[in-house]
Amino acid sequence: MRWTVVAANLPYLLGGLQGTVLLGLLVLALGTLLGFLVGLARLSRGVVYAAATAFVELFRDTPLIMQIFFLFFGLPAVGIRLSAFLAASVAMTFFAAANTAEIVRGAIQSLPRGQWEAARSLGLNRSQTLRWVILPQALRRSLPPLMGLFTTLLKDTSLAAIVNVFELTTAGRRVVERTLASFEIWLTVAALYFLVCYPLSLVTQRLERRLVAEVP
Amino acid sequence: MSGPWQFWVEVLPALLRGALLTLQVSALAIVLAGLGGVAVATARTAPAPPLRWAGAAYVEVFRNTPLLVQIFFVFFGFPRVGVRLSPFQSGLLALALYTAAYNAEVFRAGLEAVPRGLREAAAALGLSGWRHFRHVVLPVAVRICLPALGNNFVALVKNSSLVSAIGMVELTFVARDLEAWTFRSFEVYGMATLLYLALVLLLVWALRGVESRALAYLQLRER
Amino acid sequence: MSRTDPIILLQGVHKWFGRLHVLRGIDLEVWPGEVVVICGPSGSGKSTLIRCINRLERHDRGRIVVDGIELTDDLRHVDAVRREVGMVFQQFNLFPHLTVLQNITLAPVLVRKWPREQAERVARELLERVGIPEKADRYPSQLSGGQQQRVAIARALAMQPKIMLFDEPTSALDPEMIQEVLDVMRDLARRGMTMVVVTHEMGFAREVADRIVFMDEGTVVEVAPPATFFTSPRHDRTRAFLSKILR
Repeated sequence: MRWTVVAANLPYLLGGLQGTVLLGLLVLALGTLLGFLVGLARLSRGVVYAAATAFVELFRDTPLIMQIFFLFFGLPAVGIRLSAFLAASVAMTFFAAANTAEIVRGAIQSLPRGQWEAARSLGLNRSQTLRWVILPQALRRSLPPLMGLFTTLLKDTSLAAIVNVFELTTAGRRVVERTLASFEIWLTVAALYFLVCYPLSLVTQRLERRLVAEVP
Repeated sequence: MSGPWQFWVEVLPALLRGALLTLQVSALAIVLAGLGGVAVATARTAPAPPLRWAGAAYVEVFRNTPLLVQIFFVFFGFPRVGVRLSPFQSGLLALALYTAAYNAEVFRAGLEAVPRGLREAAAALGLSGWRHFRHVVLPVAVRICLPALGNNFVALVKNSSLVSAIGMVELTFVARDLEAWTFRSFEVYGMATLLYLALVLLLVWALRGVESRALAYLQLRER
Repeated sequence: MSRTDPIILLQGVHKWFGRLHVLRGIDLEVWPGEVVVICGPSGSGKSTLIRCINRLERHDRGRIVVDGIELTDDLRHVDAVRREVGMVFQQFNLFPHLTVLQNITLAPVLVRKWPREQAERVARELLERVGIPEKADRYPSQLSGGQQQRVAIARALAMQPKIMLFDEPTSALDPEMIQEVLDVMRDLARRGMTMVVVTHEMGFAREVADRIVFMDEGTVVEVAPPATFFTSPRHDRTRAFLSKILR
């Protein structure tokens, strides 16, 4: 074992970690925004509903890596060329959006039917009910699973390494190729991911417990 | 034969062989991850504190690091300490270890969700030990666990695509290979995506069957 | 509309849940200012009936006319009716993320387009009337069941409805809280509100109701003023029900 290799390359790996966190934040921001719209679209009927459902199923039921390949290698065939970074972020944004949409829909459906009925019986129309009664409650309920999704996204940014986007896993691979200290470096890379993801998991669990305590 | 058919005749058998390997590694990993999940959940709910801590540490470590890094660690890192595994073995091991952590949480939640009142009612009826577990805990836990387990297994099938990164010739690897060779990436990745979709839907369908059978069986025998 | 027209009119109303025929031809008229209590065994269709009056359930056949407006698939008619009909639920259905005051002012501000100050003034008056003015800034989860139900009544009244529907308003309450809610309802009846009340509280029915409707298996079996209803019911099924519930 050559643990000095770890010390020598730690700054480089930390640079990779920065890339991971930035990519994760970017994807989270864009993905949740898009996901809320898709989730709301799934509450409607007809073509909008069908399109939103197809989007959610397609991006949830196929591997993220396939989606990245499709955008990175497949789109040039139809004349659209994306950089590796763009292909990875777009694919992950769609992936995040599909999952957010499911979370939002689940949260809305978890609300008792009486909330809709009370609002409607007071004369509020459908969009007023959604805006003032349903969504404020649904968003609170979405918070823990959205935090959980953020942890998942941070881990899944590692897939960007497969198309060579610079982030922690790519950094790890480059160091291993140079130093051959595979055991030490991959263990360190795993530890760095853990240091970022574990606190997030703890916050998620906290939020979940608080929500369970509040909901009657 | 020529034209578009020619292409698919050459490409499809390779993709299907890849899909078959994906199916194999997923099926084996599902079994191992199921057993591993039971073991870890047992540890997490054990009376001895060290066992509980070990179980909790296992779950947190495997859930809070990327699967791809775990795969790399097993395949590239283990040989440095004298353990040399094939891509298939490495992928299977990593997939099983990773999913076992998620399964353990499902099992634990299922056991904890059996309402206390139900346990007390069963105890009051004089049901105890195995019969209590079999007739009260198990049916409720199955009803709560199976959907979440299903989600984990669907995720596992999708996650098996990561094993391509260490050279296992499963569906994703075959697709990349064919793409590099035919340059018809749109068709190849499109078909590979459809095959994954088919595998996932097949699994979902099978799980639904298992769920209703299991419930029917457990409830029939309760009466 | 002359004074002698019913404010609620049901003619041959049928309702199915899938293959279950829950309302089998209901005819009923409610006059302005009248208090009608609907009772009957569980599964008799009484809740479904009251929920049809503001179209929380859609009836499949027959006519329902409320305040001169027929309930059809036309959403404008439905919204118009809902503005004039207040409803109180068994499970209160307060909005847990809003304070008591916000619960009460939400609909007047959004639907009636009242200025916030006016809505809040009316809300505080109503809280005074239901006896909990000091709870205005609390959240529903901080209130007892009886207090929550009184807020729910105030919330419905804030829309200044012509009709109030009560769907088993005391069934989810602990026994010691039932009276405080019934007191509010009594007060409302005295002030001349048109009320349709589904309830098992026979004391309340005897004292407050103008007419009692007994339902069983999706039909109206008997309609009578309390005096005759309790002393000389005409139907065996009514007698059987009363002997069980009055003991």
